[in-house]
Amino acid sequence: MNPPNESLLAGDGHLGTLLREARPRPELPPGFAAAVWRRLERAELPDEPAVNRLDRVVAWLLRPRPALAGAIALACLGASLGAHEGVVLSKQAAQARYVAAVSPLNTGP
Amino acid sequence: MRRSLLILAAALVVCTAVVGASYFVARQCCAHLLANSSDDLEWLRSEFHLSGTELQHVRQLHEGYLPKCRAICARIAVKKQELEAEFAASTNQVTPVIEQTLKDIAVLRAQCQAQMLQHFQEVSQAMPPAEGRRYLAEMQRLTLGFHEQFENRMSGPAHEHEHGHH
Repeated sequence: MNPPNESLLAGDGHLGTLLREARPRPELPPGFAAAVWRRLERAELPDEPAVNRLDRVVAWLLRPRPALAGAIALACLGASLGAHEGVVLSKQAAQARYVAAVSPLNTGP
Repeated sequence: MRRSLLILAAALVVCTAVVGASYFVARQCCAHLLANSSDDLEWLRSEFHLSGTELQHVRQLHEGYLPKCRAICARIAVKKQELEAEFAASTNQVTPVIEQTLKDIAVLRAQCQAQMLQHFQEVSQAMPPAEGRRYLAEMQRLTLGFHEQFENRMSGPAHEHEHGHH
């Protein structure tokens, strides 16, 4: 048996409408329901084996764009490291040249 | 799986080769381009940020110092030749002439070092104060540091121990 106040509310449709309007529900973002369904479907799929993941990574790496981008990035990395080393080497050579000019006793055998 | 692993291994090799080749080429090019200068003072100009006027002053000091340095070096070379001749003439003995020649060489080397330090002082004064101090410290490290290391090694406990065995 319903409590007396609920039966009163059920009987009064106008009062119910007023109460619903007094507590508005927030608007859901667009595509919310579709996103929920997608997540549910993904959760139900079995785990992808590691072999397939590796194959997919390799296939992605062999695509021209990632391969070219990777090669360019590695070449830039190597060139910048080499340039830095070249600058250091040339500085050392210039320093040795000056020291040899002003202090021949230090550079002789 | 096996094919993917092979491809990954090959990719790793190619990546290493790309990095290595670009590193080597860039290093050689940079070292060659930057070390191409035939100026002995290029290092001073770049390392101690010398202006044109400062470099000109340092160049004058450098060119004034070199003949004096060469003169002492020539005298040391003569003394060394005398020493070699004395060694060749003596039969496994340190004669008084050899001792005197060794002392003469030591005195000339000391003169050479004193003159060199004097030159470093003059050059440091031709630079901005902070750079001058840095130059002086660096040159003392580069020219006198070698002898200090050698002397420390010779007078260290390990060497005393070695002497104890002989």
